[in-house]
Amino acid sequence: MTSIIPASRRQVAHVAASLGLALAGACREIDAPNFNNPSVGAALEAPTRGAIANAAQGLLRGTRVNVGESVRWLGAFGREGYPMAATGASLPGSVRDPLVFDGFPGNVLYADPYRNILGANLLLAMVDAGGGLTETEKAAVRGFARTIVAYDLLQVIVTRDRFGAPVDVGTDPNAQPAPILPRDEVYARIARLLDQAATDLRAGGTAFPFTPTSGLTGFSTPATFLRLNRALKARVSVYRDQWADALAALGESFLDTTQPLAFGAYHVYSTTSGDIPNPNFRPDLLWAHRRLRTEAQRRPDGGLDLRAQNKLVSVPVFTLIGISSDLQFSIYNSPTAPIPWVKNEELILLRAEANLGLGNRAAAIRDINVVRTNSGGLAPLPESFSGDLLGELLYNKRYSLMWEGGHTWIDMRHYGRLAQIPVGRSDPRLFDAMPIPGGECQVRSPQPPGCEVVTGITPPPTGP
Amino acid sequence: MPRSLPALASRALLTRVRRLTCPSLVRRSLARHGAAALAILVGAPAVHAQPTRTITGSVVEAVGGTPVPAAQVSVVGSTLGTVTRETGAFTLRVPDREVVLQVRRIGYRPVQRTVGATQATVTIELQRDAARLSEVVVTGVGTGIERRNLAQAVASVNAEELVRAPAASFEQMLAGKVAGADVQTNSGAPGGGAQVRLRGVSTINGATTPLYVIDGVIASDATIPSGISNLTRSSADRAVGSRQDNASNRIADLNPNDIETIEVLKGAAASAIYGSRANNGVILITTKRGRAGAPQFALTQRVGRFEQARRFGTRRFTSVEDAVATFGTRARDLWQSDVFFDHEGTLAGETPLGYETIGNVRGGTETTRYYASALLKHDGGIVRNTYYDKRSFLVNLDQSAGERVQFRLSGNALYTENGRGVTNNDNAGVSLFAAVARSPSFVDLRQRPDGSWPTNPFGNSNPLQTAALVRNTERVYRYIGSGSVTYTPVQRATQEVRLLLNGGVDFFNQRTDVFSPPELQFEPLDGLAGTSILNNGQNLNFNANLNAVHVWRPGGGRALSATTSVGSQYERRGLSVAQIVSQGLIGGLQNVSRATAIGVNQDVSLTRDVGLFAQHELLVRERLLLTAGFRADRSSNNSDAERLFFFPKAAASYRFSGLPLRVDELKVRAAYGESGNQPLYGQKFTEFLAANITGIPTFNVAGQWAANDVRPERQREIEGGVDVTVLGGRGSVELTGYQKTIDDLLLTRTPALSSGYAVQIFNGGSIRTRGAEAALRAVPVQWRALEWSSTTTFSMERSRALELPIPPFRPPSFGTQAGAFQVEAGRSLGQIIGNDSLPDGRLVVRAVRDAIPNFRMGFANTLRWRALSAFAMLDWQDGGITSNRQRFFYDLNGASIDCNVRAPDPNPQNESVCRRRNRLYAKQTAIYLEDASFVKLREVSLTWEVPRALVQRAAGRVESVRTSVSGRNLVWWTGYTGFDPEASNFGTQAISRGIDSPGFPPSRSLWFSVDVGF
Repeated sequence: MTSIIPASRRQVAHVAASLGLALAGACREIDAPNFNNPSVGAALEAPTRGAIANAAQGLLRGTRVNVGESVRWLGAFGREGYPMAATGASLPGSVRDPLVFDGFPGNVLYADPYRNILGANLLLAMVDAGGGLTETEKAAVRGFARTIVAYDLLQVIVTRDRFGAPVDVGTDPNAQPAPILPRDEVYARIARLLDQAATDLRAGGTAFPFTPTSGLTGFSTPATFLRLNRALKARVSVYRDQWADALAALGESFLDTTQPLAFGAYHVYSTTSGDIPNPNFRPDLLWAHRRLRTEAQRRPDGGLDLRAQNKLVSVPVFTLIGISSDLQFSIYNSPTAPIPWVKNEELILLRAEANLGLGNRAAAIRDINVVRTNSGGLAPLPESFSGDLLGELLYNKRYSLMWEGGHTWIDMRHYGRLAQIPVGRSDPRLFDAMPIPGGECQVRSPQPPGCEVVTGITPPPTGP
Repeated sequence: MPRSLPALASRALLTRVRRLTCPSLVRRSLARHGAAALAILVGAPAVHAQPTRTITGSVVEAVGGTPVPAAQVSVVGSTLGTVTRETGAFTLRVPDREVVLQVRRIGYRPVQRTVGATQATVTIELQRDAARLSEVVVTGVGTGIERRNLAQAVASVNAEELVRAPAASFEQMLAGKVAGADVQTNSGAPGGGAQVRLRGVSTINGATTPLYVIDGVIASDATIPSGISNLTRSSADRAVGSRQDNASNRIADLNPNDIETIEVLKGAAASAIYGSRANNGVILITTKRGRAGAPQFALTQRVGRFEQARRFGTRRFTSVEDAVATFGTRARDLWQSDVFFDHEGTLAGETPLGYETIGNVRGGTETTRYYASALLKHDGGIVRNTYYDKRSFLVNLDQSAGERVQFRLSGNALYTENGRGVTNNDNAGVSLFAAVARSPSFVDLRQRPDGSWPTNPFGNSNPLQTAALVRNTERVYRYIGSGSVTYTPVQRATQEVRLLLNGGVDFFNQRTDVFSPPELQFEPLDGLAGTSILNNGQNLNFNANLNAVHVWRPGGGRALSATTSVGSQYERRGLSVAQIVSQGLIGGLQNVSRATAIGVNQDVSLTRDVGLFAQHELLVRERLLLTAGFRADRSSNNSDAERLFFFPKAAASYRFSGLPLRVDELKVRAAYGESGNQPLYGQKFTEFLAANITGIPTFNVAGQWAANDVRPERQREIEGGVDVTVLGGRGSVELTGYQKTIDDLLLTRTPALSSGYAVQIFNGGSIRTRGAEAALRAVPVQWRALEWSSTTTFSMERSRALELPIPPFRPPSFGTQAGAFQVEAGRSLGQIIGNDSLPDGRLVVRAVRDAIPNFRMGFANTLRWRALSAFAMLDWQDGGITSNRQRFFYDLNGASIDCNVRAPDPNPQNESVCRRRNRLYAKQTAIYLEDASFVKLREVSLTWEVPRALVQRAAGRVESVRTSVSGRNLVWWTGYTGFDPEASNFGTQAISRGIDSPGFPPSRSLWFSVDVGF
């Protein structure tokens, strides 16, 4: 290195002062905060009542994400309708092409429920840390959170079915991936979780320490939310063929043949800033399958089943990749229309289903008739009806729960009737399950079942 | 003006730099000019001789005799000097004795001429310098070195080379001119929207744009999305803009006509001194400055015309059966035979005019110099309501205060306005060229005489109506200002100490308005007729540097010259983007508060950085150059804002001269450097998403969580090369090979999806890019008045992931079915995976293509003959892949031209070529992955220098007139079947580039220009 030979002391001072200034400047405090979102770490370390309330309320938002998607995808799988965005891949991906496990579309309807389960687990951790809640309030929040976890797991297992699903997930991102449990075990765990949540709710006092949405009107206290919890338990029990359990749960649910059939819990939407509108209010993108009109039963006066009449609307025909429809749904007729979560009408049909499973045909017919006459305007079935009562039940579930989250597809698979869903040459493919997404497969070795392309079945086409 | 002003140096500093390298010139002259040079040495000490007489002269080209404006004329051994006017003429006061004049001009070899004590006029001829050995290139912050000794391959582009044919932004003008710089125009929309990638892939998740430094100001190249995705539904997030919005990047705001030089520091070997922001290279921009002398005015007027450069082509339906098969039975009712409505042609069929009016003035005295310029620019768009306007006003001022202090001030006020249209990826049938696919050729969609618009019976929108009624306008007000003070406390023949304090601000406000009135066909479909978006982005960058430079030249520096510099830098960058998306417009007003559904979103980012640096440069006998230095940076974007990260560098070069075979010089060089790419703002946070459900507040899992030690990516680059100059500077070759490895990548680890976490940001893994570059400059013909000069640039690079601590992953783009980039250890970073079928019919997902081009070449030629000169530049990309999603949309809707062509047998279903493509695509993604090779005639111009006699006869005060015809992107050769193989739906991307989703069609332009100097 060379040395500086300055001209004068004054100049040395200038240079030294400048360098000193530079070094001083280099040591200043420069950190910058997060201007956009609250910290998770802070919420876990020192939870407040407000943070816990926000996180609890967040679960209703989080669980809603998957619902909007499942209406379209599972609706297409069950040939209730078609997502016909002219430029998207949803239509060929749901009815024509195999389901690729690695990436879209195999990965839809998976990450969102698990993200909300993480939200619930973080909430449970916050509750454990205190946050100024009383023990009663803590029990109420736990019961609520566990019910949501169970429901989100249910959303996963109905799509992955024979491949199973991970259940024992926590909050540690670095933990080993939770083992993938087989389907029946997943259902058992969901049922157990709902029961555990019910216990919490029973100890949960008279009010939640947070604000439920208007979609939970009638279920906004621990005691009334318990009735929703039991309704979900009934649905799970029916899926498991646990008929007696189902009837027991229905007894504690909000099933009431004297109440409006539409009474129940809903996923709600709004156009408020920061919220989202109902994603299935998109008449330009979503079309109904024509069979919903052609297969509808007739009322005594010759008119169509009121459900087909009221939930469908005729429009000019639209054709894409050879698939045509001149029908759209009018179920979600505004951006703020809610999507049913569980409603009285379903519970009545679940009771019929459970009774049918137990061989109580008369009881089943009684409940089916409640729905047939009130919801469809159809003539009641004779008490001595000896035909395909299961088929009749499935018909009513299809029209009563139309476009509400894939009930048709789930039920047809449950009873081994998938191949009865009509397909055409342009929409030839039916799936019994969605693959385990690549993002779940990649972290596991060996690859679990389901990390594969699901080609589904292609029954003989009955239409174009 | 000196060539290649170091961007961070003041004018005063530069004088020192020249002085530093001056001895080498003297030596060279000694060898060539013998006695004359001796006279210089003898005369050199006579610095303080007073000028008493005047020399007038002119500087012309040796070939053809055309005047050379803006050449620096100086008296060797003194501070006396001036600059030639537009006519090449100069007037200079000199001492009353024999003097040696030195003439320098970028692109020419420096010349020295002895002017006798009684000689009053002189004509000096300049020869083209292909090798540009005397150009001063920046090597540190505030220091530079002549190209002949430079140890790195730093490319520089000067004003003349840059502005051959008008373009919206200077980056577009750089395309093909710099070996190793891949300039890609993301869409054909008027205005900005280009991405510059230097030396291949440098990052995966980090910042992807080079660092732009304009006269010492670290400028923003932010891209703020418009929110047009709220119409096209390309993104599910309401009120948040999407990367698919075809937004422009802010560096495009600059006025290319104000740029004096651009230096491109491509990799860490050259850019290490810029530390943790230099991984993508550094682009140093120096604007034009004043020169001592009488005011010189220059006025340029350009007028041009735009037209669509390439058609996509839409099917013409020939039978009602075809129409019904594609669009269903409804087509039967609407069928008209013998009509063909060419919707694409109507939509992109405008042939608008463009103009540029440029005025500037420069002049000053020895102590005060100024340059001021104004630009008014308008580019028309080939789609209705698209255009680009630019206004720029710049003032650069240089002021000396005594011998020791120099001030420099720059201020540039800019306004740009850009109508961008409605394009890119679409999920709602609204994006213009996606909607065309649903607009059959037998349906008339043109506006009716009564002003109403037909409804498109088969689609959600009538694209002609959308183009006519939707406004998507970016307006940017920007100010870039800088100032510097240079203080030289010590200035002796053997010692020099300089202190340089400089800093500047880059402030802009970008406002984007999108207005989609309720009467549009698609607007009522979401139940909220009418959409209005008000998007406001505000950016403030500030940086300040304090440097000290010490130069030691024992014995005048011929044997040894040592330069030591130390300094520090503070930088602050803040950007706030607030967006209001209003739907359901009450009364159809654009006012965002008059709506039933109002969504608001704001994103704020703030970064503060502090850097320290030191560098030592040793030049031995003007042959051996040794450099070593380091930079130490800390940043608020790192998890630990206190921690310093060190980035060292070292370089050496050795120059041989006096070689046989008419080789003038041969230089071998090697350089090593490290640089960083600091995390983006927000990557270090683990956060809840604060949102609401029907107004009830919520915390939701955002998915991202950060490791606790997020830190900069680190690039280590080693570069070596050989530069050869032959035939007295008429030919030069620059060959460079490099390898850069980037470790500590900002990676996203995806745990099992069932964990609920989407991604973790952490550092790890490494990637490597290797490449070769060549630049060949030659003047093959120099015969009488005829001169042909030629420049060829070549580059190729290969990027590979070396090791990754995570399984293969995909940067965000479309899914594997559409072809997804997959980063995988041991594989190329251009790897695209997709569906493929094995011979036994099984479907697999595997690597199907590689998107990295084989090579890029630029081929520029100038022919001069007397007052005429012709220029043409070809830009050639060989290989590369572009995913043609627009073709997919077209096939899906039966709109491609070959939907009329029956596919080859066996064809039991009697399907068309396009239908077969669309059917097989599910099993064979590669069907829509097309070869992106192209050759584009980027720039072409023909210039006539109007003879001076003619000019002066017409207007006495006018000194020069030049007219030219120029064109941009006039001719293309490509096998790609979409609009443009360069298209990038996702804008600027580290990896996921060539994805073409119904974008904006490209245009070509033809210009007529007149330049007047007076």
